[in-house]
Amino acid sequence: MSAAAPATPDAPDAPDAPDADMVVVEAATKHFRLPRRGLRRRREHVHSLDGVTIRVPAGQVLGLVGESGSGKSTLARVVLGLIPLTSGRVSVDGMDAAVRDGAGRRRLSRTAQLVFQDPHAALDPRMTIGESMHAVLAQHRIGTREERAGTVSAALAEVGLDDGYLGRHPGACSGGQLQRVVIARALLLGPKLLICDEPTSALDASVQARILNLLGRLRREHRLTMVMISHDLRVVRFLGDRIAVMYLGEIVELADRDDLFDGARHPYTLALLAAASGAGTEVTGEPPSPIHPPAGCRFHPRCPLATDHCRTEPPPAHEVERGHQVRCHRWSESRAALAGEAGAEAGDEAAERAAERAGKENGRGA
Amino acid sequence: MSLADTPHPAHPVRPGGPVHPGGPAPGAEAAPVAERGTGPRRWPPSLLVGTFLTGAILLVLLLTPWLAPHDPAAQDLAQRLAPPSGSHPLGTDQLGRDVLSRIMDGGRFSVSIAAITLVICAVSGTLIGMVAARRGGALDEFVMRVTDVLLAFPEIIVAMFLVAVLGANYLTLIVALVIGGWTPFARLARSLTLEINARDFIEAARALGCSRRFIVLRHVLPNALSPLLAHAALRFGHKLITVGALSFLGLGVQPPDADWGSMLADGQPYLTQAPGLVVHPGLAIFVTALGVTLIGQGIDTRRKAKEL
Repeated sequence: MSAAAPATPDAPDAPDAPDADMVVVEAATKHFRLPRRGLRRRREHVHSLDGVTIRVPAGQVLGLVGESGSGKSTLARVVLGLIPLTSGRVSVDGMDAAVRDGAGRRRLSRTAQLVFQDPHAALDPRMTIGESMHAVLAQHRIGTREERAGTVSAALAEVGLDDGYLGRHPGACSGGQLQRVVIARALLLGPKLLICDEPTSALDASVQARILNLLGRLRREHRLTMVMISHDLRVVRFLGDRIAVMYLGEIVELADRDDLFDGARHPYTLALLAAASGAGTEVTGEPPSPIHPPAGCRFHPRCPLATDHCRTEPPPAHEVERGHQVRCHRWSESRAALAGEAGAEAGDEAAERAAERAGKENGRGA
Repeated sequence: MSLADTPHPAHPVRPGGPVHPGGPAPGAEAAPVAERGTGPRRWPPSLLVGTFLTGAILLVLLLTPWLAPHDPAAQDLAQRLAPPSGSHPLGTDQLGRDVLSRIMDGGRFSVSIAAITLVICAVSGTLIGMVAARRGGALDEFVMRVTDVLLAFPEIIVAMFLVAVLGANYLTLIVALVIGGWTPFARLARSLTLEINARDFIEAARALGCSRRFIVLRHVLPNALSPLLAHAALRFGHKLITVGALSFLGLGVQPPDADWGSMLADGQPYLTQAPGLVVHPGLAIFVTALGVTLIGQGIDTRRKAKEL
């Protein structure tokens, strides 16, 4: 159905305005209040996002990886204006995403759309697919009844579904078919930004590749800016131009795709890569509770390179190369210590020192 | 009850094998489930039987003025406590009134009061519960504490208290039963709304820029409707019995009017001489409650089968 070959999609082909940012997130913080327990006076908060700053240039695909609870989905919802920020600023295509009122919401919804993880849950089981899609256009008062029917059919055709699906209920369709419907529905309003929240992780393996190819094709044809959220490194590697790694509400590493896969520096990213390839030091243990994030570097309880400095002082984002940021005190030594690379760019001395220290402190170095 | 668990086209458990082993639909993404949205929906037997029973009873009650063999209030003291006969199919009561006519006439009171209170309870409770769930915060907290308080007293105690204070007539009976009876609907509607609100298609509708009105009317309400309807039908029998009980205690319909509950009370002293005076109105309550309850079960069965 999908025309695109299962190869790496083209590099961003000349977006409309090369330097315009589609998404700008500045120091975004989102704390969810937990219900008061008993009569204890202090209310606890879940730190879903803590000072996230990121830009997505128009036409680019940002891959967002991290384990569950790291704040990926929260970031997506914040960008779509679905949940308000505790502090910070988010704008999409120049619009403030914090709009709550009807008109602003509606305008934002024409610019940014969401593709869900579970397509069965993303469609109302009581409405036919046709009804679900018509409703979107009707709510935006787009076109006459006949024009809407044409728009809906065209949108379904674009994702490889025929009009036979219009009268079906979601319960009568497979996950892959429904994910196509969800994508078609998201594109009905002609958005510039498509946020995909784990679009393939609820699907059968055989269908995943087709959906990814479809997204890649649509991205090129519609010149979409995308945020591709996944815990699967293969997915973001396939579609992403730039990759952000999240851990406990922070972006710990941000780099262009190839830089990240070949030159990751954050111990957490290195652990993820190692887990994916089945070699090297894997991360152990459960992530700490986002209600009480660890002091200092948030990764220190699980980090093989952690020092006392890491336990007390939260690391700033170091710009280690152009466009490559790492939130780690020991970025210069991490590759040597963890990826088994003797003599990383930072210099042999640092690498040796790191390896020694790591070995001494944790009994398990490179 | 064996009526409830009969096979249905979309039965929950389907171990392994495909539905159409002969001809799976073409393509790797073939629909795994037989099409459910189209074609005549099959009704579970409980729904069929319940609808038939209830429909028949309603028809008889509507046509009572023409169908009743006698004037329900006409006394014939020569024929007191007569056994069933050709002209009095269910016999006569202690004042020589025709029992069948009185049951038909009394049913109009019992069923209409139960139905009216039920509809008011269901609509107001649903509205309150949904608003509480969607608004949340202090309003939600307040509504839930009020229902807690009301639920702490049995519905009939609340109704008895109010009828005793306000006096017994048709209207106060309804008011009393509504005040005591909206809370289960509010709680159910609230929890359903909270559950539906958390589902992805609501978030999708918000992301797609749908209005709140649209979300409530086209997404939340339809998805909450069948559990609410099932609950309403299940509560109808309960309401009927409550109305009967209040009348039995002399707090409901007042003489010379009668309803099933007051007939039960009136017939009690003659239980040994003319057991029909108690048995027949009792049966009327039982059969009517059964009919509507079966409808409720049927709706529930169908919903559960459809959701899987």
